[in-house]
Amino acid sequence: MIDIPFILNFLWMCAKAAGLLGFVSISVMFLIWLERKVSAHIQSRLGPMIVGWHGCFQTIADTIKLLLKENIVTKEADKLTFWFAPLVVFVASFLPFVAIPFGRNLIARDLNLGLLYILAVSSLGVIGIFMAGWGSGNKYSLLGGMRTAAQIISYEIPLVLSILTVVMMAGSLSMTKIIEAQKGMWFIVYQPIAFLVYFISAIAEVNRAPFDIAEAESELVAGFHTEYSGMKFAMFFLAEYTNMFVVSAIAAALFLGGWQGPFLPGAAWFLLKVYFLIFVMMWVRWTFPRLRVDQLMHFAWKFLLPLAFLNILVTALVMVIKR
Amino acid sequence: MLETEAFEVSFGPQHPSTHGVLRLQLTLDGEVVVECEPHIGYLHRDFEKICENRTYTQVIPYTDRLDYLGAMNNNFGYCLTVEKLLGVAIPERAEYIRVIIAELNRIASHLLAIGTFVQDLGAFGTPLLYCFREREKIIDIFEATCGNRLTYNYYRIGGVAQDIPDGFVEKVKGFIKYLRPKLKDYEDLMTNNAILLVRTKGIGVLSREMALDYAITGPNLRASGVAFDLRKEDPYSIYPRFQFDVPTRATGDAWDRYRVRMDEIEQCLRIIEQAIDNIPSGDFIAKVPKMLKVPAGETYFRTESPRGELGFYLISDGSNKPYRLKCRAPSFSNLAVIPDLVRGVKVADVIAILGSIDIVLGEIDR
Amino acid sequence: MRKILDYTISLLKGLGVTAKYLFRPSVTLQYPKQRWTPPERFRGRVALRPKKCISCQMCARACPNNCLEVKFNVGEDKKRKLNEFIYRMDTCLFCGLCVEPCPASAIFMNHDYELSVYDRNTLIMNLVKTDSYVE
Repeated sequence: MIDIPFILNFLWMCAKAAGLLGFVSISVMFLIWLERKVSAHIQSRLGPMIVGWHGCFQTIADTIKLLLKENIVTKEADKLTFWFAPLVVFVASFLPFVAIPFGRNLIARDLNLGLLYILAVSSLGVIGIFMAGWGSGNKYSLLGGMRTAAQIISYEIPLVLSILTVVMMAGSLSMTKIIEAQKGMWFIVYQPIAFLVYFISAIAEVNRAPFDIAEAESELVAGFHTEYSGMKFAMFFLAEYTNMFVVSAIAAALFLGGWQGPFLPGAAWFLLKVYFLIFVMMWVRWTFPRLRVDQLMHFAWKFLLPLAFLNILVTALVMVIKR
Repeated sequence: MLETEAFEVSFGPQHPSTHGVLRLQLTLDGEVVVECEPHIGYLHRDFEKICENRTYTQVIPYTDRLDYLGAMNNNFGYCLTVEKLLGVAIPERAEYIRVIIAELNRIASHLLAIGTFVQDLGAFGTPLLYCFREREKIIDIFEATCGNRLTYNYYRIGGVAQDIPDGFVEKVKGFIKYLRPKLKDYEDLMTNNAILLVRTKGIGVLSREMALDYAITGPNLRASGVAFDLRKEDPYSIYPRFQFDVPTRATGDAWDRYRVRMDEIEQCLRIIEQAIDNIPSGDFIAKVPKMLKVPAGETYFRTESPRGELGFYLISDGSNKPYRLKCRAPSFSNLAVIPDLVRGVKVADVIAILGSIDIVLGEIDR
Repeated sequence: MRKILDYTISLLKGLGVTAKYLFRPSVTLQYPKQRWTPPERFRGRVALRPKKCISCQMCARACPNNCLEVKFNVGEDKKRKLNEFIYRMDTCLFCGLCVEPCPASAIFMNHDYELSVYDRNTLIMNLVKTDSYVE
């Protein structure tokens, strides 16, 4: 027997996935263009200007170029790991979209453990990065991969701890419920320290400057993706910007009230907040030098972690007293 | 107990931050450098032998290509060496032009040194491009003066190739006015930046004794607390007429080396300010025969290039070509200290130290 | 605490500088569309006014890299007649030393700065043919 409801459901899921994938691709293209423009104007330049209005189709041109490029696999590379690493990184960066609430009912699946799910799958990417570092058979890549593994594992902890306070206040792990709990006031007002800790850790999570020691252009050439070119490189690139979107989306949902805001429709508010946070990340990237790997660890373990713990403690105390 | 193994990384010659084609053979234990061996010679052009087959004037364009970021200063040093043996009197106007141009070139070189140094620390492009933007103004002045943007070939034995163009004085004054507020921006963006501070304070400490032992010169030596500047110690040209300080720092770490360069830009501006209003009229080049023959003899002359003591040792046999020309390149001696400085530091610090030493491979390999 | 505050302020100052320039006009030139005029003394490639050249070979002798070669005939009136003026741009230093000794001001450096070619043989040129500068 053909299970009609199942097939319909399946098709609906496929449509959702395709829609999200399309949104992610377009969003990433926009972000890459934005990054180039922001960096250019910060540096008294103009950035891409030739392809389209103010170079708005530059990313499309670049994507076509990357697609047409030769697929180079080095002799020393561990073929299987080398091939799968970009896939793992990209899929891990794409999975959290299931539970990201774009608007009141604009959510692929409102899991009641949404936040936990996002945190769990988004940290899968480190496996891919480590695979890339190992599989390339390049010493720079290996160093980059090792650094990322250490970095992401370290920063995961303050990140989760900072989110914990929000969960405590909202009393739920579902993204929709958390956003609805911010109806009166955004959580950033109650939890500025948690927001700061989260944002710093998030920048570190996605390997952006000043925590980009995994790529570390001036030290490790390009870190874990030194040996990657063409489409495989494009996958890493896509994943990097998707990750940026994801962490900013979480920040917007948890601290900035998600889709809530006057006048504009919910999705517009949400995207506005996300893109603003991404802009801040870009701004930071084009201003600061990079920290050293051990300083990075010190910062995570000796500063952010105690701060996050303290924050939880204070939040808990206040909550107990209030009750 | 896990056993670990040191592994070798070939750092360069193609690498984003080896400033040219330096190769550092690093032995790493994880992130820590165990041993470092610099390999040079990828840019070797045999400058000294070429010079033996060129007339004295023809050597000048080759000196441009030694330290290509301080090309005017190389011209200057070489011309002074030949002039010393020749015993020719330089017209006042030429002296002033020479000093102004050399100091402008020093600013350009230091700007680039600072920019690339901060770039090496991981500040993606922004400080570097700011420095380039300021340097561009100097290059424009040079271009209007001598016609080229990097290899100037402007100084001649006995003076300079051409008189300064119209509007030169105004342009230089405008540049001084333009640069001062920008230096303030640099203080905010780079010098006092917390991340830059933690990255450079106490990194690559070059002690006073070590600096003297390795014959380090220039800003690197002054950062270690030795107030040695050839413009003061062994004055040449008309430098004694100008008031300027020799900025020094105490500890000799990467931050101090960076700071000394920043302070030196300020001093260069002071020299230019004193000189620019007092350019006398007159010839811009002394009467020197076209077929220049230098009397037999030998001499050593040293000048303060942006990177340190630039010396030329010249032997003449009385013909129109140098019998032997030896160049003492400051970067060469400065680079020699790298293996000692980077032992035991992290990979990221190797870059920081290398960037703070500010080498130019053009004059190391010659 | 004090240190953390200082650090934060320094970082914010840095962000302030970049934000300031974010809204300043850019200083770059959109190269293929916009072009800048080289200053009068700009040293592009070596060029020749063939009519003025008296084939004295001063330029060839002044060249540090021997990239100039003057080929001429001696006519019946014992005047030199320029045949070919070979210029090897591939070895040229663009130093301008050849321009200085020219007694007839026939050789000069023009303002061309787009000198890249696909074939390096085209870098060796006969200036009598390529240049037709007439005063």
